[in-house]
Amino acid sequence: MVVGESSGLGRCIPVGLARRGADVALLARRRERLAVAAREAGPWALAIECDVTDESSSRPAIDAAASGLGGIDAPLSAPAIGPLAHLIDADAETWRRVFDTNVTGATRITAAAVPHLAATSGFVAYSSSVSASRTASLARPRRVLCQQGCPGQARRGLASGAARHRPYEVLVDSAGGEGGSRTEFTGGGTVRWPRSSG
Amino acid sequence: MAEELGLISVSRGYVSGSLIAVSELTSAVDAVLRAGTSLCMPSVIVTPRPAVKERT
Repeated sequence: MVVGESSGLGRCIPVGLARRGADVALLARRRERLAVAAREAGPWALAIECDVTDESSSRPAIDAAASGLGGIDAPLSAPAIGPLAHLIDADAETWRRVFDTNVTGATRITAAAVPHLAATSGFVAYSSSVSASRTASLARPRRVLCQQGCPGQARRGLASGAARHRPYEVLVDSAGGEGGSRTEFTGGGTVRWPRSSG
Repeated sequence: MAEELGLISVSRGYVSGSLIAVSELTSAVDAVLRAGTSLCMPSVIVTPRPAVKERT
């Protein structure tokens, strides 16, 4: 089950996994892109609308994916936005949208998936960004604020750094370290694929 | 602005400027997902290999 798959990394990964024989469910908020990605993934791929910023959307969507697939082995959380703006122009609403999607969204996915993972001894994988480790992190907030040359990267890096750590804590808290749950992160580099406009 | 960001990221060494083939990224993710729960990898970083210079 790949969440946030209508474009970018989240799109190419489920399509590639489906072509390797995996049963995949694609979850995203943009219906048209979702349908196109699902068609590309193959006739058995499930397409389910899901807005990770909305609790009332994400939890039923993940339940539907579990029902349609007959269980969930490995949710991959990939939704992320990275609006480009100079730091001085980035208002609180912009920051809220980024964190609500990139960080809190991952925790919503995790919390909704944990009951299903307990049944399959599955685990969660989180797709992060190279900016989580190569530029800014929560441990170096001063450096973030000094990166005026690339504020978009700084903001995305801050959110990625948070996403890289926070879901892990949530997962451990929720699953109690039982059920064989584990956490993976992937990130780094650039992929030749249309980027999300946010 | 995206162009400016890209140039800065490359010049500072944050990204290599190379591209990862989608098939290679998928292979990496597929390997992680199929590894089984007996294996724990806290972090996997997928980076593009350096560009190969063509022989003249």
